[in-house]
Amino acid sequence: MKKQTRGFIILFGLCFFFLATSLFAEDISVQAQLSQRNAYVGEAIVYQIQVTGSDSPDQPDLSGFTDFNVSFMGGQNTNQTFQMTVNGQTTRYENKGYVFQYKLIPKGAGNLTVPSIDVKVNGRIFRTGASSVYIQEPVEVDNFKARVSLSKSSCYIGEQIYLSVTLYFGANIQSPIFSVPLLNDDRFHFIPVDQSKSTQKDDLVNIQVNDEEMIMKIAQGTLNGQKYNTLSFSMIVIPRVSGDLVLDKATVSFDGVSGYRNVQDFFGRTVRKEQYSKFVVPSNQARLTSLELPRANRPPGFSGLVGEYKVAAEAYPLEVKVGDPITYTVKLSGGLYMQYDDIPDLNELSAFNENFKIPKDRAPGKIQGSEKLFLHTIRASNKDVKEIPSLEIPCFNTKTGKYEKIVAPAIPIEVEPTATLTYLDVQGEDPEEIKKDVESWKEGIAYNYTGPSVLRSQNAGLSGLTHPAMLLFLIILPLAYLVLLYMFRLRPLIEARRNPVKLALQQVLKNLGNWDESLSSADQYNVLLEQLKYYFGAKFSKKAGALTFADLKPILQSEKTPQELIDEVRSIYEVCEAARYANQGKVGVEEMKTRVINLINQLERGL
Amino acid sequence: MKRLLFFFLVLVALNLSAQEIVSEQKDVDHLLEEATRAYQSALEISTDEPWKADDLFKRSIQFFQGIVDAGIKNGAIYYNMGNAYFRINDLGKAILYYKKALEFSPGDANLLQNLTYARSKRIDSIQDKEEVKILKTLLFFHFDLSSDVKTLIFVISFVGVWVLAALMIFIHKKVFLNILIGCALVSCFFFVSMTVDQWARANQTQGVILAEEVVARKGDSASFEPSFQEPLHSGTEFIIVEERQDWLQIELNDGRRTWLPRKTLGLLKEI
Repeated sequence: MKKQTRGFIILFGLCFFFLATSLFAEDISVQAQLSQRNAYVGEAIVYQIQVTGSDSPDQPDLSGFTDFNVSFMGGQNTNQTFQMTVNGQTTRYENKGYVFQYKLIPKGAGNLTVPSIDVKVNGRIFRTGASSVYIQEPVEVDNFKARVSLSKSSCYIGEQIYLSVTLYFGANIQSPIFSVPLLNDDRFHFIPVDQSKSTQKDDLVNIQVNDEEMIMKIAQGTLNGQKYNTLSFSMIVIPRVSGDLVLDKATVSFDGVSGYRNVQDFFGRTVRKEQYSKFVVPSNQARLTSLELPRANRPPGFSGLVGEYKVAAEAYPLEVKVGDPITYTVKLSGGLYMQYDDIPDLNELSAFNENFKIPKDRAPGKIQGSEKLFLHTIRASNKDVKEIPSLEIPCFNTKTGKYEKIVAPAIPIEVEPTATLTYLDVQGEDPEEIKKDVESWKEGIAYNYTGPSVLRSQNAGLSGLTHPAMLLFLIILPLAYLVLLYMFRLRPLIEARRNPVKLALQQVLKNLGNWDESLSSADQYNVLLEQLKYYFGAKFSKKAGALTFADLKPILQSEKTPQELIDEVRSIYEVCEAARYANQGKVGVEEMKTRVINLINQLERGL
Repeated sequence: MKRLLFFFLVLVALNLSAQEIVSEQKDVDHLLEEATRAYQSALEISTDEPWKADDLFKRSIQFFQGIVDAGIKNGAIYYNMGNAYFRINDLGKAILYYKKALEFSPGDANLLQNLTYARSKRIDSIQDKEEVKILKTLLFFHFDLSSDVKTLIFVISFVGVWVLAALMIFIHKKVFLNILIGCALVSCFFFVSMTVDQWARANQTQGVILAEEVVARKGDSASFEPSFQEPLHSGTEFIIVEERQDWLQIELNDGRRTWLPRKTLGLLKEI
């Protein structure tokens, strides 16, 4: 076999090995479990998919679970690590895993099948096993009943009506959970009702409804002539589609008192103790006829208000000059939930825009009690304006079943001409063009961010400071300072302590180099001699100020200094001392300085 | 031959990882595109069809969440999610996500404006403690400046200290010494301020009430008496003091403590 062919076979084999090991590197398994095998219609069953061998499976598709309403409760990894030490050698093991949790709410009774599903893990498909669950139809019992009711049995698309879900209980209950699949029905829009404003605080409790907690009201009520305690909540319902709509039943599960048994207390007395059992009770099935809004006679500029709305308006001040601001407030009422309700833009109404200046932007309405207030700042544009015109809002009256116009009556005002002459008036400029400070509009939120920078991961907090480059920079600064300090301050000091002669020599040479030319001749000689004495003082550990040549001579001889250098020392001493008193030396100062430097250098070399 | 083999294997490995990166990038690009489209469409129909708009805003939130789940942590994404939650009137989550965005983009003017506006819409008015108010006035540089600005001032003053100290080795001037002392004080202040911030971030779990309203209790069960006359409402901010299974003890901005069910709360560390 040729060498090249053999090489390619080895290469192919390695590639195959590489792929095979990557595919079968981990031992992966997928299992599905149900929290219970028996349940009632509407009762939640937890469905868990356990993946072992990987902590990054794709979320499975449960759209095939047609017998159940499915809601995803979340997923989390179940990774475990442990160490094992055998013969002193420690080995670290890691078990990867992931769990998906779903809530299944059976839609009907019978033996229902939870189908097998495909779970994609690391590119491979694993299939869970199918299982069955027996679902019973919940049964209403005398003491416990659930009711779903609507404030109207017939309404129009977009109309707001009340939905109430109530549990009637004639005996004590514990841990109630409401399952109201209707709240996830896309045919309706639901808005929670704030019950705290109309109910005593002590009569409010947090109860689980589907996956969320909701504040419910505890009260007393009558059903079929029988008195019960009630636990209820309300929502505003807005139908989105037309037709005869059947609302899904709600169910309530709880532990309720099913009987009593006699027990003996601590003192031996017989007392009656409540016996609790699990109950799941169904509600009635409510129906709603939802009607389309009639297309005929739909007025132009129909605002979308559907209900029994009313509108009123007020303005202040009523006596103004041309251009003065008037606060015009429109009060809309009659809706159960008015967050989305709006009135026409005054700028588009000719009755307003012909006689008034109206800002192009206006604040969104503000809900205050049962009203929604729309504030406008308008200005009369001429003195002939006599009133703020009536405001007509086309809406659909659900009581009469017709399109109608609700009207805020006109408000009379008095407008005087502008009397104040301003600089701009004198200049002949149009008062409409008077420049004003541009004030920021404080209502509303700013725009969203887009673009590639949004997809760049950022670090939170003091990340800039803890970045390695920044830390390095911050550490280098003090280090650089310490290096400079050592080089230019500490090292000379240390060396001076080690070798005072050298330090003195450097000092003398430095002083002679920085010669002060302004000194008198006598002083210059004096300085010269003092430097020489300072040098000898340091060199022979003597007191420099009183060091005469007579003192030096025996020391220099004992150090075996050549005679010519001793003579030179004597000569310098004589010349300098003579010049100090004569104010002029035999030899020039510059020459003496050179001789002193040469002498010191020769002595340093020789001694 | 060995060289060829080695080169080939490296090429395969690089190609596989590059493909994976490109594919992930395409995924998040797509998610951002979809999120932006849904948000824009929702804005366009928000006046005429508010319910449909709500659905679209929720859809945009799901796409943004997909980006976060893909491992991208960016202040702008959390800010956008805050905006979408605000649009669907989920004030609690809007404030929660704005606060999360604040961790990444503390100096963002739009974010600060939106957060302030969202806070102004809350029902509960809870004032800061008096001591905190005084501290906030005195130590304005600690409370008002963003982490970025603090970092910048600290770095400049820190550099100033060491440069001036180095200059003073060669040149002895009193003015240098005075500036050096000033810089040292400033850098100390800001170092302490940033350390306190970091400590708070690591040790204090902040959160926001998400439920429309919730009755705060004096203990960790619904059987305890209410803590306040009124229930608390969505958007109210707090820090966690203690955790017990399904209930958390929280401290409000005015220093009052109470217990709330865990389900009604959103915590910054959990998003």
